Amino acid sequence: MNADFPSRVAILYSGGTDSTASAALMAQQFDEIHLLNYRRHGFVGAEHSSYNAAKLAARFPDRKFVHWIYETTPLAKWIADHRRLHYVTRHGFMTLQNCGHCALANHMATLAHCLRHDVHHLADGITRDWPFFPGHMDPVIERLRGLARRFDVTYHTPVLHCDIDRPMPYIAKILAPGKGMDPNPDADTTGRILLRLGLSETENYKGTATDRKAQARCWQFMLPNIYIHWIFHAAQRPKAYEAAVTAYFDELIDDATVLLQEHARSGAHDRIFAFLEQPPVPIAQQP
Amino acid sequence: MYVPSPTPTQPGIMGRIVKWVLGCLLLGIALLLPYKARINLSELLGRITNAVYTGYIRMLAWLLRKVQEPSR
Repeated sequence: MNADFPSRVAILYSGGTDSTASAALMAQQFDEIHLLNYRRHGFVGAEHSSYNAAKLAARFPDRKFVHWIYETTPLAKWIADHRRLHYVTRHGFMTLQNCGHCALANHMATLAHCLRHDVHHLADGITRDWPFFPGHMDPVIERLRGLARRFDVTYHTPVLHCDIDRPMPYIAKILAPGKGMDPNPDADTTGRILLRLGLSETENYKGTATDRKAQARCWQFMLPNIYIHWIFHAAQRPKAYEAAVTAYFDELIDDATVLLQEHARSGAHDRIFAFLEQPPVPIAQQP
Repeated sequence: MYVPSPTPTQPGIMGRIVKWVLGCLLLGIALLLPYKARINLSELLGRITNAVYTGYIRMLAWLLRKVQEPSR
């Protein structure tokens, strides 16, 4: 790596399987890895992200891992509530896409962190799972790449190409926890990346007690899902849904760009970005 | 990129109407709420759904284990 150009990467880090696999892959290319976890109203157990942060630090002892847990409720509230009348009259129930707002808040916060700490690369654990949540949709991902580029940051998606685990019946998780469902032995899932790198004992612990120990929990998916499946019927008309999501997020990302530019230029909106003053949390030693 | 199922399930027309009306009611209420109350409503609905679903599945798992146990 070039000594003049800090070899740092910021990871949007929940602590779950996908973002831990992403962090592990990026740790093979960068010297300093910033694990950024975001706590906001309605999230429970953000501190659980320390579980896999410690595993990563132990697995890659020659890399420097720094872990922040940022409180970003004011930023998430700004995304959901600014110009509310305009958005509600123009996009209606689409404005209840909590999970898309969360993704955008995490990207904005990460970009603000990158500007503060001179980081020019960011990555996340986005996969093809949850195909109707905006942050997982190709047009929105491309717009988020464009947003990052405006601030001289490259947005990497190292596990986007990964195979996703077949939907696993909940009863199978209870009766045989930790067992993957994909019959294809060559399937390259994030769980198998962790297993291969010695960061997990099983090939799929999503939805198990280990998963709950490793990341925050959130139950805010109901309003978006009601809109997606009961009102819009996105599975029956995916193209129309994609167009509606893109129209909404185009506008939101334009507003986000202006907010970030004003903050970067003059330190404006300091209350929204106050989280940047928080210190990192210590990474525990693995026994 | 969403890949549609080759064998999509089509809900019945009555089911669609009931879900549409109930959905519009819940989302309409949510639109009128301030930020934190809106999040709390979504979370409450999510917790209820999660509890009902996992409770049902855990009960099934318990029954299956009981059936598999050798009789004494």
